[in-house]
Amino acid sequence: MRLAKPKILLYILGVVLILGAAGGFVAFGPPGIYAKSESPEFCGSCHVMEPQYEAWFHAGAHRRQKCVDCHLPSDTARHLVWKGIDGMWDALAFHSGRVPETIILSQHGARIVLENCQRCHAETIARIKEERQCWDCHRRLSHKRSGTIETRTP
Amino acid sequence: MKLRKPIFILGAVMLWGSVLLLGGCSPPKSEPVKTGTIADGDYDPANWGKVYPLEYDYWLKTKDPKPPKSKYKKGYDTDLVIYDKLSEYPYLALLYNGWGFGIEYNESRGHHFMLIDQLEIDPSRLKPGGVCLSCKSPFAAKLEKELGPAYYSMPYVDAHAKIPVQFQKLGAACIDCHNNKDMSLKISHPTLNKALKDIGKNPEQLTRQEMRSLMCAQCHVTYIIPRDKDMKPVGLFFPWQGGKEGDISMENMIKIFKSDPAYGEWKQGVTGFKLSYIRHPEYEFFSRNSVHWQANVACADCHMPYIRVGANKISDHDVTSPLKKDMQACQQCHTESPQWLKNQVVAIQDRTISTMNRAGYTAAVTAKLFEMAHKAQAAGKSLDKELYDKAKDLYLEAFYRVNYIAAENSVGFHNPTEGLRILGDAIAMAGKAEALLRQALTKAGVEVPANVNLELAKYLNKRGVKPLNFKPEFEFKDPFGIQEMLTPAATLGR
Repeated sequence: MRLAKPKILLYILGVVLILGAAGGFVAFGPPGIYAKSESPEFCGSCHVMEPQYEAWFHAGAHRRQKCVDCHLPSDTARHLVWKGIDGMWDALAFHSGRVPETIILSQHGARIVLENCQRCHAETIARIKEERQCWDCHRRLSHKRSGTIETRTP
Repeated sequence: MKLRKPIFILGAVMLWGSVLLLGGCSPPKSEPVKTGTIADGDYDPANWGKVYPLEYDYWLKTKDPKPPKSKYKKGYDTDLVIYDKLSEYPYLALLYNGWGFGIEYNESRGHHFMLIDQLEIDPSRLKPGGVCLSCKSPFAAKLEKELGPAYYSMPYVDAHAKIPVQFQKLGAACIDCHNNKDMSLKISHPTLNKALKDIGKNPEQLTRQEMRSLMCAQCHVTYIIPRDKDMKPVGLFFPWQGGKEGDISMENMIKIFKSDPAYGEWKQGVTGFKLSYIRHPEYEFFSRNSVHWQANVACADCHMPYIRVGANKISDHDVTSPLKKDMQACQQCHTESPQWLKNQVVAIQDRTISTMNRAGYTAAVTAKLFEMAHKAQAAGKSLDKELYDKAKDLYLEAFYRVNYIAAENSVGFHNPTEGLRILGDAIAMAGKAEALLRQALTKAGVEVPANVNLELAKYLNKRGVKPLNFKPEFEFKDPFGIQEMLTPAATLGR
């Protein structure tokens, strides 16, 4: 038994390494699954997200930003954590059909978006203090009010 | 065994440590370079301007004449004319006859001129005393504290002389609204703190967005200066008792006016009645569930909108009418063109002016009828007491409503529907008062003409020490021409 323990650990380590390498290959290698999952096309592939995708597609200023640039934290650790969590919840909600008619940003989601506004526009807002959400005044940023309401599929 | 456990623990610590390290190090927040500090109790805006030059530059612009883009609020435009409000609204000359407001009452200039205008206006306006400084000088709070109750009634010039010489013309300054350490908003005029408590708000627990309106509410509110039996001021407060946030009503104010004879601040010349008075009630008017108040828009959102200066976004400290800035503030949320937006504003103001005309002239006619009634009584005729009392009650209600809208500086825009509601009530009340008086006078055998001559020339000309006269080119006639039906030009006695 004293000899079996290190051997089992070694086997486990071996499996983990192989899985890790395979996962790393699939995510960051030629298949590029990680990059693909960061793309707006991926987010828009769930049909309930189509109005939001179309609104972004037609929008001006933030057209070069991907969905995740605003909707996920930018620092690596939190980005990966919330990508996983939000992704799972979204997949569950979508496949179980529990998607609301009007998709609205959650409170936590709003906090993340605000953080990202402040990250990119830090210089500009350095001399003001605001408690409100940026989009309370900059209304045409939000997906619903950027002028593509006619793309809402019934 | 003994070696593996610590290695395992070390490995776990290193793994989680690196995860935290990756996640915990975010780039530092971008802060502008601080070029100095502002000492506590430093009133000099130039010192604040050394640390915040952008905002200071815009604050200085309140001195500049503005482009004449507002139809009804001319203020101090590039024509450099100071507009006489009594010429703009001739019925006010009649209604306010009896004290300072009936002598000289001008459209205000920019914030820079707040205190300077007090020094240049007819001295009858400064009769109350030191209390008049309360909304005009950042030193007012300090003086009030140091001088105690004497502050309110001491002659204006004496109280003014106690302000340090270099600040004797200083109006609204940085210290009125900002904490010198971190520029957070703070209430510096103490009367507002008491008023907030009266409507159930805790002045210590206000959100930033609420503060962005309450800073203005330090001065852009109505107030009462209670008097003692010699008509000397003994205090200062806002008539908000019984109101709630978003519901400080005309009706409530009138109730407070009637509750104490000490709140009668002046005697109306034409009727001889002792009356209270309403001054610039912008906050009360705007906050009474106007559409923009409901949309959580603060005073600063329209009057101090964010602007871009170089790479930075700052609040525009050149406080003025958004009309004079080409509706830039409106365009943040409203996507229509400035011309379209201005048309909307002017439409609202035209309708308010028209209805104000109606209410003002009806109240003026009723006032003249009271004058007639009092003359009749002096000549020995006795009037039906019940009719007279009811007429007087209605007249007071009507007068305060006309006073409210005339004093409010947006010509209805801050709350169009409430404005028209108040004016509509004023017309109904003044109308009924007129009817009852006619009935009482006829009953007493007095001949009353169908159209009462208002004798406006008497009230409009030779006013005060300057003296001031009527300027017909300033008058705001009814944009829809209806008033002619009710008070024909011939009966105005101009």
